[in-house]
Amino acid sequence: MPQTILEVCNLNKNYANFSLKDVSFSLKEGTIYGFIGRNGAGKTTTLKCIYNLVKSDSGEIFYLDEDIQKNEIKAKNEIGLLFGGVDYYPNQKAKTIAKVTSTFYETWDEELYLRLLKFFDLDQEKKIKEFSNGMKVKFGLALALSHGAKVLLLDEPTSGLDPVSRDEVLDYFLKIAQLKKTTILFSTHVISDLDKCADEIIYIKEGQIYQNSSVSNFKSEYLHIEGAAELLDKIDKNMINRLFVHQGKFSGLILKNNQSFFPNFTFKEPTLEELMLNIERGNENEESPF
Amino acid sequence: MKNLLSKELRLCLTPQVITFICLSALIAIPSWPALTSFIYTFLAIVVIFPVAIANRDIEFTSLLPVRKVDIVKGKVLLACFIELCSILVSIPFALLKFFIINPALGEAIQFTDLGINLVLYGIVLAMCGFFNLLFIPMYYKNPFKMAKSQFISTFVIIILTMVMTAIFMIDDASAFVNSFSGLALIIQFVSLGAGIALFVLFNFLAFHFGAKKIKSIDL
Repeated sequence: MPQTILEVCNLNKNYANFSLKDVSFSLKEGTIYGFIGRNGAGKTTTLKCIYNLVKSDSGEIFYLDEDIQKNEIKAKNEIGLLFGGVDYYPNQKAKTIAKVTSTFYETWDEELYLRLLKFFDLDQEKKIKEFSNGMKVKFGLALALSHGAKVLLLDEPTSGLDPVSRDEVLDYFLKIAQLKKTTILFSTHVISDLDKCADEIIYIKEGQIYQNSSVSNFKSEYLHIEGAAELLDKIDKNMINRLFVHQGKFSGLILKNNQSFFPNFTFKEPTLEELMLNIERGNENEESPF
Repeated sequence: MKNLLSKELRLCLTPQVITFICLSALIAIPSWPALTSFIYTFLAIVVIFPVAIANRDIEFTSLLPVRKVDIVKGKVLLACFIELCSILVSIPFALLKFFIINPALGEAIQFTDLGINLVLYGIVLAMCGFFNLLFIPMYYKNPFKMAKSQFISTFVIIILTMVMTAIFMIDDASAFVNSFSGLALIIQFVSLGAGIALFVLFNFLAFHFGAKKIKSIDL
């Protein structure tokens, strides 16, 4: 049974237009968590509360069973946090930023850092402003990974990366989770990334944890259905969520329990993106502003 | 603490700041009120903050394994470093003025204000501490904007410099502090000691109140 490494208990934070309400979840060693939800659902605020950048109104956070507030520096030494890419000190060389960063970590591994630079194909003699957005993300990852963090909290780590780089990064996540038992919690809007590597999904909706389960459990309730559009007249369309008709074909989601109502159709496991859209939009047809 | 100061020096010490530090050499200008040469020291501190905002220094520091209050500690350390460097830079020029320039100019010089002595450095240290105490907590009330804290603290320190210069233009005060004999010498050492003590106390309070402010804001 993997050890619980980080535990968030009943976290609350109130803003004028938004609240985090009783957010609770725990992260286990060597597990990759996808932290998903719409923009403004509370993902970044939760990550900032964990790292004590935002003061929560109530709630507790434990790192290895110890209150993170009381062991802030020790915990931060073992937790890597990254918001997008490195976008600080644009006129400084990447080498300088890394040098400064390294002095704060007792466990900084210079050899690993140099290997990561090579892996990500980054030149540390370049200034930050000379990096593309994708390179800034890669450099941020190199910094976050070089101090041997036991937990990585990553906010949109793959946004801005091209598909090949994204695949490389996701492979790397899988490797460090398996080989080094690193726990990774990452938020992303590229939901297909989670299909590739996440073990668990923590779904946050309007400041509350909507679902916290393994990917397989998350997907267990629904099936992806598709077929010829002309067949739609012969079935109960109300049983299909997110119905989409295009080029003579239809697709959508049905509850697994209703599978028997749709004989002779093709079924597939739904993607996380489909499920997210189903949670957020269901069958609603929002009025277009145009 | 060492890594915080090292980070500040590597990333925040711009050529502009170094130039301002060097301007404390203006103390050597004959008949110029000595205290005014340290106005540039305060400007050096004020200019590091907009540069830090532009470089997203708070965001960078907050991702390092430090406490939130260490963001303030780093900047207090940098401010102290700048002030102490300014004082150190001024010392050879003060000695030049005291031992060479003033004697060379002789009667042409009017000793009507605070001259080169330990009282001057005691007052400069106290003013440096006072400036940090005024500026840093005000700035960290909202560290992403700084016009108000910059304007108020600079304005207050200029007024204070004017007042202190004016006080020592009173004949008796000027004659007393510029003397190096007997009781005056003791007063000189006491003034320097008091200046050092106030510098330490004011900086501790600047950190304390600045830390209190940053704790209450969300980054």
